Amino acid sequence: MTGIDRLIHEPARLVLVSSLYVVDEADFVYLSNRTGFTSGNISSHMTKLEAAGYVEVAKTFVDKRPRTTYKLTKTGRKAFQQYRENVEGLLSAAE
Amino acid sequence: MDHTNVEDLESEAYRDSYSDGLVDMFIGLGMALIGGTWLWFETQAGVVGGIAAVIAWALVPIRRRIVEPRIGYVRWTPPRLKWERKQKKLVFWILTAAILLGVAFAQANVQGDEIPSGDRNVVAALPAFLLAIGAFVVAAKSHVRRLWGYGAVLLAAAAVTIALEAGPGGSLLGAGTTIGVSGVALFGRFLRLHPTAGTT
Repeated sequence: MTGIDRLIHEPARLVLVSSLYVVDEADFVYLSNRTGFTSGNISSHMTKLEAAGYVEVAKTFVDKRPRTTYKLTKTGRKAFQQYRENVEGLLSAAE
Repeated sequence: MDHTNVEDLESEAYRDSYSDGLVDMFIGLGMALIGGTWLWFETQAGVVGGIAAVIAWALVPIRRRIVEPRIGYVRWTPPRLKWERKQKKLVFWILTAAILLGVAFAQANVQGDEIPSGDRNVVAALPAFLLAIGAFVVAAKSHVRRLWGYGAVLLAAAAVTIALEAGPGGSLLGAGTTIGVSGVALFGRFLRLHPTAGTT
């Protein structure tokens, strides 16, 4: 599958990246609610996405409670747009 | 998650972030209080704006304290925030027009101004009618289905006002209570689905 970004193509990461693509930024609780994924699952996928430069992670305190916020970087947004185009191209070629 | 495109995903995520019913409760409570004020304290129509303002200010911190820890924090994209500001402005102007109409109606009553009975009934129904239009417009733009129901309730309240030759208070009290009760039911469901705050 030439041109398909395997990092995004993994089903759980695809759900996480598309959830982040439609917002500016979101925290861990929001992503967990939207996707139904466990905390360990989200953490491990986000670590991979962060390492690739697709996601920015910020850890802050709000009302004395920790908040972990995730945001797609410009690279991450471009990668997702490219991924969509490639998949759409692949699917239309198969028709 | 079953979505065909990211636009649908964004719309659904945005709609879901307001499915807790707190906004419905506050709008319903505000309308019921305003309606009650007109109904029972017609000569003190000036307090109406104050009630609405206090309720609007209370919504933001309560939502932040109860809803956000349960569904999580999200910041929407700039185009969505721009759209949201437009909707808020629209709702603000419709509410202002409805309140001003009611105040004018109450003042005319207090001063004993002669309003022909036919016109008087239409004027009395205008606040609920305007709010119904507002609900329909926001429902069409946001795709929040329950807003069509709220618009229908407000439209029915306006029709009842004309039929019963009543003042604007009763229609707002009735419609506000209905919307508020719907909000309470949604909020109860939200708390059952999210009994405790999530952990980060």
